[in-house]
Amino acid sequence: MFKELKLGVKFFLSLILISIIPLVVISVFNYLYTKARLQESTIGNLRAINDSRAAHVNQFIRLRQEQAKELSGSYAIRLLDPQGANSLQLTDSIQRHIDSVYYEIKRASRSDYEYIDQPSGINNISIWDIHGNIIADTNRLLIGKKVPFKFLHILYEKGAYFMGFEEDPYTKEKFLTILDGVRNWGTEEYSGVVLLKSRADVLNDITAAREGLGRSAETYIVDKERRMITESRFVKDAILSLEVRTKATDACFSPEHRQGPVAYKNYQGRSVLGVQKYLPDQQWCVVTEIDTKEAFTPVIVFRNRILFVMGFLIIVVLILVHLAGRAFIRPILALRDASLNVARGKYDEAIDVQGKDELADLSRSFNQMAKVLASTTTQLKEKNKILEEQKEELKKKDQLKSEFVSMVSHELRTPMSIIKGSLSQLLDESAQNTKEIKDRLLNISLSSIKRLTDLINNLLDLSKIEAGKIELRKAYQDITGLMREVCRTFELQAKDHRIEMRCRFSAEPIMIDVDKDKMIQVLVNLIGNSLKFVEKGFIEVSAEDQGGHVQCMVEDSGPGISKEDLVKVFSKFQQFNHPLARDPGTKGTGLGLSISKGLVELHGGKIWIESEVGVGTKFIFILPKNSSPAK
Amino acid sequence: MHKILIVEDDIDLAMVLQMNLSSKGYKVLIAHDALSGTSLTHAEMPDVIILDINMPAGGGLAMLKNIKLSIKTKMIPVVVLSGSEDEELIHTVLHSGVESYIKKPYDLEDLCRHIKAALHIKE
Repeated sequence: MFKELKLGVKFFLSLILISIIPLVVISVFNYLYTKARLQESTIGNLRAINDSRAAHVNQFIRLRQEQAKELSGSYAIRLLDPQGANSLQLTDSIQRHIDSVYYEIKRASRSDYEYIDQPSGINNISIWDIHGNIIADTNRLLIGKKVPFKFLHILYEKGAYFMGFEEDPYTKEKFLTILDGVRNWGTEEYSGVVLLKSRADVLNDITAAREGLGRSAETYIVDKERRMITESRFVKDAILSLEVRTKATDACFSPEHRQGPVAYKNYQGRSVLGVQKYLPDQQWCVVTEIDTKEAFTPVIVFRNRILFVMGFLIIVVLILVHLAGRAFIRPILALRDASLNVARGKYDEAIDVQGKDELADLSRSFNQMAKVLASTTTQLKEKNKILEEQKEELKKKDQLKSEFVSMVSHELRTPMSIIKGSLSQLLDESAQNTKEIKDRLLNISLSSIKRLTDLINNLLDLSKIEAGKIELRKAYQDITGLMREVCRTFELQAKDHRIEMRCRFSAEPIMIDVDKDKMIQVLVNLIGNSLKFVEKGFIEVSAEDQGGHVQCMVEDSGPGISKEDLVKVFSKFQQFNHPLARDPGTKGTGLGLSISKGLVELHGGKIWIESEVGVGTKFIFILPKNSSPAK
Repeated sequence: MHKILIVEDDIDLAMVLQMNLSSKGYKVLIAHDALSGTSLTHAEMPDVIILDINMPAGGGLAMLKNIKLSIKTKMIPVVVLSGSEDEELIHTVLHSGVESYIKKPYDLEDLCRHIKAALHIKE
């Protein structure tokens, strides 16, 4: 899922996680630590309070016990008869005695026992004889009544002094009763019981002191029947009617009276922190509890403060991360746009680079890359163009080549047809071939063979020239002499056709570095060409020293060549079948002028033609004196 | 006697052809270029035309088209004689209503056979 998010959001989340996680960890640790410490100190406080309350309760009971002992040890009471035969006089004196003691207790200011120093400290003093008859009581209405006192013999046997809570069978009031057995003055036999009764809620005076316990803390006492014997802070009339069965009391009343858990649910089901103390004499459990919520108020405040700070920090981090993210994302987006532009072929849109960080570096290198790409692309395009042109050229050349082959084939096939046709005619016995016809056919065949030979020779020459495989055997010589020689060979032929052969050269020799044979070939081709077309008039051959080069010219008074044909003169197989052309014997190969051109150029020279229809034609070529091959 | 017109720019070949066909008993006419060939065709109405398709400036093809377009002359069978390797040209010629296409150098027997066949078709 994280992978699918946009870069900005990823960045965002990562930063938040990085910044928030330690904060959360530290806060949680701090919170838990503080909470534990707080719990520890709270429990300590509670234990102190609990201990002090338990001590007070013990003290209170012991005081009562002392008071009971004091009473049972008084002379008047020790006079009780072990068999229960007490005189009215005795009971009367006992009655007076307890009245005075009761009065004294009521009145006395016992400032050293502040909890007992209450008007309700002792509510009743009662003296029973050995049969359970109330023989004296501060509540005189009860005197003479018999109490079905079932504990009496147990009391005697165990010497117990504490009765716990007892419901008065006559008043139905509940009392905390402390008792002591009375031994007869003389026989030391058990002869009665002294009972000091306090109201059931007398212990509240101790437990209700709640200084330092806050709003929810309380101390209460549970007896072994799990009844609450003090008031509850939260439940009305709880004394002896509210059952307390919590984990704490369970632990407290277990056989080993162990310490219960510190955190548990109290009798109301609320979470509390608490401590307990078992009072073995009374078999009571003193419990001090505080509501967890209140106990932990400081940590909760602390926790809330942390949450608030964390929330604030998160918002701050969000804003910062958003800003930082934009600072990071913007150059990346710019890079993306730029690369899209490059992909579309727009190389000139550079990224606006700010700053000196890595992204700026990247952007700069991107710009550089785009620049290089742009120049490379331009170069490639140019090269492509050149290649395209070369391809076109090659195509053209290829076409020219196949045209050339086609032409060669044609040029070869025609003389072959002549020879084959002639031979067929000669061999045909049915034909009446006269000698004249036979001679003619043979002559035609011969000239055709010559044509074929010429053609093949010319083709070979041409291919050598074009391939640059021809070697010039140059020699330093007088070109006029060379030209004169060629002229002379044509003189007779020209005379036959009644054409004037003019050879015009300067008296001084023109020295030049040329291949003699090749030059003769050029001149023969040019003069022969003229001779083919000139009907009447002249053929003039001349040479002129022009300083750096020699200009040679073959001029005739032939029919001339039209302008559109002029450009094709030096092409291969261009034969202009002029109606005025000479007889078949002079038919050329159509390659002579191409060869001439190639040879002149091989000498580093140049050849061209000037012609006017009906006037004549000039073939002019120049040769450099210090000739070096053009190619 | 059947009349055959030979249109061939090579004078020597035209002459040899003339001799060949004359001795086979045909009356032979000769033209050395497309222009005179066309006018001769119209004037003499030969029974067969032997046409060299490779004449200067595309004359052979022009003449062939000219003959085949004219109602008067389009029934005259044409035997084309060619030394060309140009496949495009050969294709054009073969689709221009010619009777036969013979490659140079021709075989005389072969040529005569083609002429006879052309004459047969005409009649």
